[in-house]
Amino acid sequence: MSSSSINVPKIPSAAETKQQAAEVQSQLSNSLSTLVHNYASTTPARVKLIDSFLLFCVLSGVLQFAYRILVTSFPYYAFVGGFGSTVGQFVLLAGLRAQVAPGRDSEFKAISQERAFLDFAASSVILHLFCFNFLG
Amino acid sequence: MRLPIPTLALIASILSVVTAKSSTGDRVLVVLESGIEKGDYSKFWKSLEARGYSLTFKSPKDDTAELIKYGERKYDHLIMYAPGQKTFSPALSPQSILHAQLDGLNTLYLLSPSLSPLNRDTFREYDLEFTDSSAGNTLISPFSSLASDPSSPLIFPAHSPLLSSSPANPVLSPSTLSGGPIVFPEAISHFAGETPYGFPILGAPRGSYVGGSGGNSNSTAGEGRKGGEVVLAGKMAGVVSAFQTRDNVRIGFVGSGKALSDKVWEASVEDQEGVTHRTANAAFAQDLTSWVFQETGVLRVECATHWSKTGGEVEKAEYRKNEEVAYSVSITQYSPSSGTYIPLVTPPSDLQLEFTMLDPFVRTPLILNSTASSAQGSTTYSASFRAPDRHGVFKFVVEYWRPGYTYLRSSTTTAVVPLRHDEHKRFITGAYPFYGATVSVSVAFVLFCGMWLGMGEERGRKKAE
Repeated sequence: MSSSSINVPKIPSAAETKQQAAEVQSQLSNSLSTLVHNYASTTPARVKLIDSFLLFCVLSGVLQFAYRILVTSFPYYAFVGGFGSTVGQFVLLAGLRAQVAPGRDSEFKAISQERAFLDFAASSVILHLFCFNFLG
Repeated sequence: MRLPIPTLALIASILSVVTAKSSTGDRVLVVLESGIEKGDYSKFWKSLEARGYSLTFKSPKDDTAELIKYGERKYDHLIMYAPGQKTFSPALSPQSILHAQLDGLNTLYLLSPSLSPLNRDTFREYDLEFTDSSAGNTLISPFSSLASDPSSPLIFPAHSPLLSSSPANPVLSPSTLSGGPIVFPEAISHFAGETPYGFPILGAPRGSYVGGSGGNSNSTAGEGRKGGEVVLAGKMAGVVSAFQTRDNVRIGFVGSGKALSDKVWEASVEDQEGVTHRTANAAFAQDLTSWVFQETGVLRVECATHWSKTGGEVEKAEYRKNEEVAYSVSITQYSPSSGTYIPLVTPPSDLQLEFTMLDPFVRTPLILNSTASSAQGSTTYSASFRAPDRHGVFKFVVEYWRPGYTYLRSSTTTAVVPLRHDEHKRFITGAYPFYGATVSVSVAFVLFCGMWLGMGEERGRKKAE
């Protein structure tokens, strides 16, 4: 909080600083809550589902990479399989999200949601087969 | 019929003495040079015959004394008492004796100060340098000798240099060690080299020397120029030494042949301080001939087995890398009293097992296994270790080489091979996070599909409404 005033050359009084900090905080929380509220109210449920899966993929990938660095990468193919499945799933999900989210590009308008989901599911199944093969 | 106990004991002792025999054979050839009276050593010959040896006497010039005939050894042991002999018959030449020794002939050399150059050269082959002094070769001991005669040193077996290197030595028996002194009249001494096959048994007493006395001149030791130079003195001067080849052929050197004569055989002698001793020459002769003639200190490897600790106690032809391997070796000792091989009387604790491929990859102590020992009538040692992470042809090697004991060697070849393609572990513990991540993503995908389709149905229903 006080760090926001360090950049200001003229040293403000304590009350002023407090007031400013409170203002900044309220603005920040305001915009955050607006963001969350807007996300919650305007985003369709299916996109929220995609986003939670994306989050899961990112966390899983980060944990695996940390394990590979800190503990072991042996056998390397198992790491490639595990890490590849999270990355690949993330990419495929991102593709699906681009096709079904409300503000999607006009080039995807011709593609129906059912078609997009079918593409996603089929490619995911192939991805998982590859990844299990890599696990050894 | 009842016999009194002393009679039984006497019969038993006679029997045991008569049946006492060498582990390799009992035919002894004795070669005596012309100046030596066989009768002067009758007690020594009798003691050998009482122990079951058959003696054949020959002269050094005898052409019929072939040691090996038609490729067969004619004698198992040789007592060579011809120190001054300048020429030998071809059958007894140093070359043919050496040839017979390579074939298993044990030899006891009895020597005197009148050593011929031929013999001196021969003994150099055993890394023993005998004194060659113009002032005389006789060992003089001014402080520890017979009262009248400083050229008859008294040596106490308890001072043997053998005891410092191996306390449980097989050469000198405990009764000899605790007994009286040994008289070596007119002894020649030698300087022993550093060959690992030879070892000293008795050294000269402290204060004794060779040379310097000036032969017949009356000058005092080391002082007069006419007396000559002292060539060897004190502990450096060896009197009795032994040599054992890689093939366990045993050769003994006694600096004084007269030490076995009847005059000093279990005699009472008086030293320079007037103390009367009972000589231990008889006991010493018994100990030394027992050792040279392969009665004592004879060890044998009965069997060596190895097996996998994981796959039951079955001997395997090959082991996997990093497999737990167990090894055991059974060793026996020759017992001259029974003529059979028995468990070790004093089992050593310094045996090692080496698992070698050119170099030892594993070197581990062999532990005495008392339960297996009592069951098998032999002493069993065992060890277990993890096979190296390296494939190739390996050998289990046990080598035991101590002064006076048989050179034990046991070598068993085996192979260490990598895991076959179907023997690897299916899942590796360290990779479980990766397995878990892949499975969780797949499960999450299935859940995702289900929820996605469920949401679609709700929306469809809403649309229909």
